[in-house]
Amino acid sequence: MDGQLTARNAFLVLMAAVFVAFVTVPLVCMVLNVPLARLGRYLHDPMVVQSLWLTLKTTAISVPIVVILGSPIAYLLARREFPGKQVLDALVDLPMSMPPVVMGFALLMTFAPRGPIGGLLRGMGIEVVFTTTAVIIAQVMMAAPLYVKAARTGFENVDDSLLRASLVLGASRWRTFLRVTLPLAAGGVITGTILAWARAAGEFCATITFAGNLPGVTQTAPVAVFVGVNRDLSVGVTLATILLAFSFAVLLGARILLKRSPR
Amino acid sequence: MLEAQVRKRLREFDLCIALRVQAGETLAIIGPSGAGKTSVLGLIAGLMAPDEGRIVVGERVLFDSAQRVNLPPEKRHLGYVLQEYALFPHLTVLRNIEYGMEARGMSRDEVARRATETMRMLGITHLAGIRPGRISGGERQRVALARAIAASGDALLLDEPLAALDAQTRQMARGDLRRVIRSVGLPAIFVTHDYVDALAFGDQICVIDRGEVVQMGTQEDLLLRPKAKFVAEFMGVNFLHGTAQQPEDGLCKVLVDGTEVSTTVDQPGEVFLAFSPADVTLSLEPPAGSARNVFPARVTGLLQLGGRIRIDLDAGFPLVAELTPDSVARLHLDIGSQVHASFKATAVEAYR
Repeated sequence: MDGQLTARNAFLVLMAAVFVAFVTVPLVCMVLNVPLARLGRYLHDPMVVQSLWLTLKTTAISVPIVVILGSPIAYLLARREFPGKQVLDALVDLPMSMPPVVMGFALLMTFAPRGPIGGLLRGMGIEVVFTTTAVIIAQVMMAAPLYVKAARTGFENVDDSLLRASLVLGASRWRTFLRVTLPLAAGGVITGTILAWARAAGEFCATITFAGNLPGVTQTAPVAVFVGVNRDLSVGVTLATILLAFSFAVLLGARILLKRSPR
Repeated sequence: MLEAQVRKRLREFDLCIALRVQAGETLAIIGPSGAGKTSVLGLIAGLMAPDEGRIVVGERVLFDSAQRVNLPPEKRHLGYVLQEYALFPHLTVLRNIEYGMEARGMSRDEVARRATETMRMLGITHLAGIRPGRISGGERQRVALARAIAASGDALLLDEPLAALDAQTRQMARGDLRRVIRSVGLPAIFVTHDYVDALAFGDQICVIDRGEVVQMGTQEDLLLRPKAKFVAEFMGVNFLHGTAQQPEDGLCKVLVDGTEVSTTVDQPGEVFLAFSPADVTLSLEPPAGSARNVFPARVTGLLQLGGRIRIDLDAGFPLVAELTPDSVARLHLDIGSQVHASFKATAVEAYR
C-alpha cells in the first residue's frame, strides 16, 4: 500500500516537473538573451518606454470598464435563475473560445467607417479604428470573460442565509450588497480583476487586427515585442522580460494577498 | 402583540396559518422537517410574500393583501435568529452585533452602548473581537441572539436556535435562552422540531404538518388532550383511540385494537386516550400494585433524552415509557426485553 502510494506520488511529482519545465524552460531561454551589458540603453529605448506606458494607460481604463460591465452579469449568473441563462453564460465565454484574430476582425467590421456603428460614429466625428480607443475596446472584449468567470464564482460562494440575515437586520438590498455580498465575494472579484488585467496587458492579436501598430497610439507592449523582435532582437527580449517579471509579480502578489485575507 | 393570518402556495402544499402572540409570550411552532415552519417565519419577516393575509406587529401593519401593504424585510424591525445562525463570517462578534443597529440608523453612541449591554447580558463580552468561525456552537448561538435583540425589534423570531448544538450544550443553552426571551418581553415565535424545546419555551404550542395547523393550544392542551396521533407523537405522549364501553363503578373499559384499557370515562362511545410516558411503570414480574392497566410488552426501542430514557414498547398497541437511566440499568432493559407495563386508570386522560 505504502509502496503503491509512493509510486503514485512519484508519478505526480514527475508529471508536475514536466509541466513546470514546459512553462519555465522557454522563458528562461528567453531571459538568457537579455543583453545585460547594454540593458540601460535598451531600457531607455523609446519603443520600450512608449509601449509599456501605453499598456499601463490602456489597461488602467479597460480593466475598470471590465469590472463595471462584468460585475452585474457575474452577479446575475451567480445568484439568479432566469430563462436564457445558459445562452447568456455561453455568450460570456464566447470571446475566450474564439481565436483572438477573429474577435479583432469582428470589431474591425463593426467600427470600420463603413460598418454599422463605425458609420454612425463617423457622422459624429469619432474615429475608432487604429486609435487608442480601439486598443481599449479590444482589451475589454478579450479580458471580460475571465473577470466574469472568477467574479461569478466569488458571488456564488456567498451563502444566501447571510443575505437574508442582513435584510431582516434592517439593511437595504444595496447596503447588503456592499457590506455582505461584496466583502465575501472579494476573493473572486480580486482574482478576476487580476486575471483580466493580465489578459488585457497581454492582448495582442485582436489589438493588432483592430487597432494596428502605431507607436505611442496603439503599439502596446505585446505588439511592440512582436514588432521589436523583427527590428532588434534585444528590444523584443528586454520588453518581453519586463512583461514577464511584472506579470509574475502581480500573480504571485495576488495569491499572497488572497491567502492572507480573512474569511 | 404579533398577529398573523396568512396563506401561501408552496411547492408541495398550501401554507395556511393564523396565530397571535402577546408581548412577553412565546409561541412554539413544532412540526416535522418540511412542514413549513421556516416559511412561517419567512412570511412574517418579509423574506417571502404571502398570497393573501395580514400581518400586524403592535400598531404596525407589515403586510395586508387587502390594503396592498407589503413592507420589505429591512423595514419590518423584527429580531430574527436564523437557522444555523447565519453570522457574518467576515465581521467580528462585535461588528455582527452592531450590524443591525447601524443599518437602522442608530447613533454611534447608542450602538456602542447597546452592543456592550447586550454582550454583557449574554456573557459574550470576551468574544467581541473574534470572528464567528473561531468560537464554539454555544457561543455562536448567543451571538446570534445578541445580534437579533440588540437591534431592538418589535418581535423575536427564532428558527431552531438550539438544533445546531450538541446535547450537553443544548441543555445549558436552553435555560439561558429562556431567561433572555423572558427578559426582552417581546412577542416571540420559536420554531423547533423538538418537543422538549416546544414544552420548555412555548406558552402556546402550535403543531403544524404540511402547512396546516394540526392543533394549537397550551402545553396542557397538547400533553393531556392531543387531537391527533401526530400531535401525541410530537409531544411525546401516549395516544390511543378506542371505543368506551358502559362504565361500571366509576371505571370504564375502552377497547383499543382489541385490548381493554381501564379509564375513568363516564360515557360510552368513541374516545381519545392520552397519558404521559412518565406515568408508565415497567417491571420484570407482574406488579401487585394498584395499577388497573397491566400489559405484557416487548421493548422495541431506547432513546436517551437528557436525563431520561424513552422506551418504545409493543403491548399489542404502541406504548412509550420514560425511565431514569438508573432504572433502565437495574432492569437490564434492552431491545427485545420482555416486561410488564402498567399505568393507573386515573393517569389516563380521556376526551372526545
